[in-house]
Amino acid sequence: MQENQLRDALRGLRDHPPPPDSLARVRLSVARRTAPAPIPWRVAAVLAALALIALLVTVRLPEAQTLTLTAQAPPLIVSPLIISKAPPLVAPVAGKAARSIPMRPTLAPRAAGTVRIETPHAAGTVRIETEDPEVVIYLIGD
Amino acid sequence: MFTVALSPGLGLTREADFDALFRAHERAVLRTAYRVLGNWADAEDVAQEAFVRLHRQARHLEGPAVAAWLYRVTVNLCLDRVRSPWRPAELVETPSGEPGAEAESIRLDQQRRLMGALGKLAPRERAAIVLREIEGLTTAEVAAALGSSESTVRSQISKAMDKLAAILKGRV
Repeated sequence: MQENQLRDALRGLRDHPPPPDSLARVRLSVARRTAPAPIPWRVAAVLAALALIALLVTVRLPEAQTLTLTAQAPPLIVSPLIISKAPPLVAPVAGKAARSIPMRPTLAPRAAGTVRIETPHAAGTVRIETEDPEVVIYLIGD
Repeated sequence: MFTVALSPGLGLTREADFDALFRAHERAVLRTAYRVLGNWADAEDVAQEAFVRLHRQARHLEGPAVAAWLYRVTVNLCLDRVRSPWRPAELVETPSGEPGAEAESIRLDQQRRLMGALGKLAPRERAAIVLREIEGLTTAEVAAALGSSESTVRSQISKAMDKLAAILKGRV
């Protein structure tokens, strides 16, 4: 074979196309390997959403606790008039000095219908009048 | 010369640019890899890797440099893999009896023998022949792709042509 014939024969190889399935496999592989990865973007979005939720919960939590504590403390309504007429908590025992119990200052009524708690005899002692003026309930603490 | 004319200053900043380059060069890259390696499976791997690298390097390449870069990467990847067995695919013949079947059969037989002869060349000689004589690159472009001087490429091609002729004449 002469050199020019050889060159023509080699040029003829150029016209021989790649098999379509080979070309398709290369296209598919390249497309898969060059496609932007979706996972990191989605993970970032989920993390951002979780961070936002955590922030909202943290900000709202102290307010919710305050409301709960307020609801757990029912008002104790004691009429100042009844308290003033009530008998003493403990009668003095003969031969023994009456125990000196420091008095707490009585809270002045703030306004009509407001709550007033009075502890007239000792710290930790609460006196509650019932509807019957002869019945008085004392809550004595240590 | 490079067959795909690329607009000068084309920046590969968009996926569309990459897609256009991929479509323009995919056949040439796959064909070149096959001629150097001698089997389609390895050629597919090389073509795939070359285009993935092109995608990574896209923003640093412009215009005709893309084609030169692609050929260089393809040939280097092929030379790295050249230890794989040389097993060119069987060429499909036109069934006998159809018009032009005999001429087609002769042509295919010649191509088959040519591919077999190419497989007997040294890898770098084969790459030089593939780029210069089959793909039609200039000597300078082949030299750039192979990382050699032009005189070295001329020498390689001359020796390779002599070897091919001898092989086809049955002297080797």
